[in-house]
Amino acid sequence: MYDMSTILQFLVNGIGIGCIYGLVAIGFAVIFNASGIVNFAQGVFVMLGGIFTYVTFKTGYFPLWLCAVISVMATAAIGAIFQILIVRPLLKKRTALFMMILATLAVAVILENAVLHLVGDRSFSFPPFSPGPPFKWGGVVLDRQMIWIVTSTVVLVGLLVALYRYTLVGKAMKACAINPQVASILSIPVQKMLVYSFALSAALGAVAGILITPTQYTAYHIAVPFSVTGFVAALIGGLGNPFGAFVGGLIVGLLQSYSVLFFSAGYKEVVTFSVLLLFLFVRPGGLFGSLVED
Amino acid sequence: MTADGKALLRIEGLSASYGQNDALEPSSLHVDLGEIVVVLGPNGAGKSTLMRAIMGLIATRGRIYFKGEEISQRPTRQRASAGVTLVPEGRGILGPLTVMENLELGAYGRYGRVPKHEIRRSFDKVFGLFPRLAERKAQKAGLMSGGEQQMLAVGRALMSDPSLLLLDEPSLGLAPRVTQEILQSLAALNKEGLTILLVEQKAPLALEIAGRAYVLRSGRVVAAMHTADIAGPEALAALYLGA
Repeated sequence: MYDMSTILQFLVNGIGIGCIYGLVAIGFAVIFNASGIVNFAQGVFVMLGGIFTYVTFKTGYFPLWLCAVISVMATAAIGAIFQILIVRPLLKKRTALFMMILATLAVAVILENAVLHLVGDRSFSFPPFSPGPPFKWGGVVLDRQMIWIVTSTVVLVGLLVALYRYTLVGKAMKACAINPQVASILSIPVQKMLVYSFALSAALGAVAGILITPTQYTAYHIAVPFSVTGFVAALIGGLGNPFGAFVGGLIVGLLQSYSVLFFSAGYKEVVTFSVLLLFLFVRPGGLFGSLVED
Repeated sequence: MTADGKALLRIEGLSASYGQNDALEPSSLHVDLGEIVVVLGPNGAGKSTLMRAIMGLIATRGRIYFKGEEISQRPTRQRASAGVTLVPEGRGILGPLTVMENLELGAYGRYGRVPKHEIRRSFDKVFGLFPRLAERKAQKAGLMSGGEQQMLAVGRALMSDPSLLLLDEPSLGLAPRVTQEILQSLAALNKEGLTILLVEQKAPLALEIAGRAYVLRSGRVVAAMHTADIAGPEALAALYLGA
């Protein structure tokens, strides 16, 4: 039997990593909302967020918060370039959807290997944002970085939901995904919206990477696991729904955390993907459905 | 005509192809300010291609002039900003979005460029013209009937305050009564000064409101006439079939 503090500890752990998966999943949602494509390079943005922050922090010239800002901007720029150089030409050729997904996978592999050659295969980390001992309630330990993770995620999710629900730009992004030709008839700058969406998605991935690195590490090879798990979270929540993606992330985080507790670490992925299969059979649209599909 | 005597829309030698297939042979037509002009023709004549070409949705050869300026090389968004808008075949409404969101997006190009009260006035105009839309502001557009979706598509187009409204088969899939309602709304808009170029398969209904007509056959303009000069259905059928 497990005592309450153990159950609560794994709840805290699950919520923490769930928020990270949620941010990755939201990145999938943003790009899907704008373009209708699934971007399997999303995990690379998570990796780049951590790597860029580490590299700039290591120079000693900049405080950690500025390194994080630089990292988010640099990763967002890479997301924008990815859209302009890869996605846009392929969309113009009316490339089939599964080929688009393969293209995003190809870019993920290329960027992963580029990072490997530039910084090596070591793991990197940097200090947590608020140094100091963790908080303790009873037997439950709450890392200070965890508070940053949860708070930042909640704020970002709230801002994104508001973007799509209440702002013209958010609605225009949805219009671009639903029907880009109609969007252009409405004077919506479709190409610009796509660039913004990819930049935003990359920035979200970078934020996830920056938040999680002090508690784990970053390295060139973390991209694919984050892409896959983030995608699973996005599907569970409802592909294209930012709030759904956040909830999907929490579900996956909790599933993985309690799998470790009740089974072992080796069963994390088995449990996660078993639940995904269940959703695909019972509720393929995810918990909340999509924002851009009827 | 515009103030300087030129046509509001003038097309010269416009052609378009889909791959190897010529969908539109070099065609010329014009629409004067304040007119309703209808483009008629059988299935596959190139009518929708013509509309898409004017709006810049497909690559074309030839020239298009709007308000005296050549817009042939301009992208769709710039043509829309210049004052041309299209209600595409099949309506093109954004189904997952609400009626209100569709209408808001219709005015996308005007936000920040015109005072907010002018956009509010456009909403009032659309809801006055189509009261059913006012009753269904929060409804998802994809759940509306065909007739209501067509009203929404026209309303959304009006939100951009266009000088020229293009409509591609607005009666498609609609009952005759609803089609009549839509076309009467277009006639009312034209009386207020809106210039309209309309593609229609249901010729008799369209000819009731149009002043001039072009007939397309096999991708080419084969006839141009004032609607008052059309002798009757047999004459029109002869033009369709090339007899």
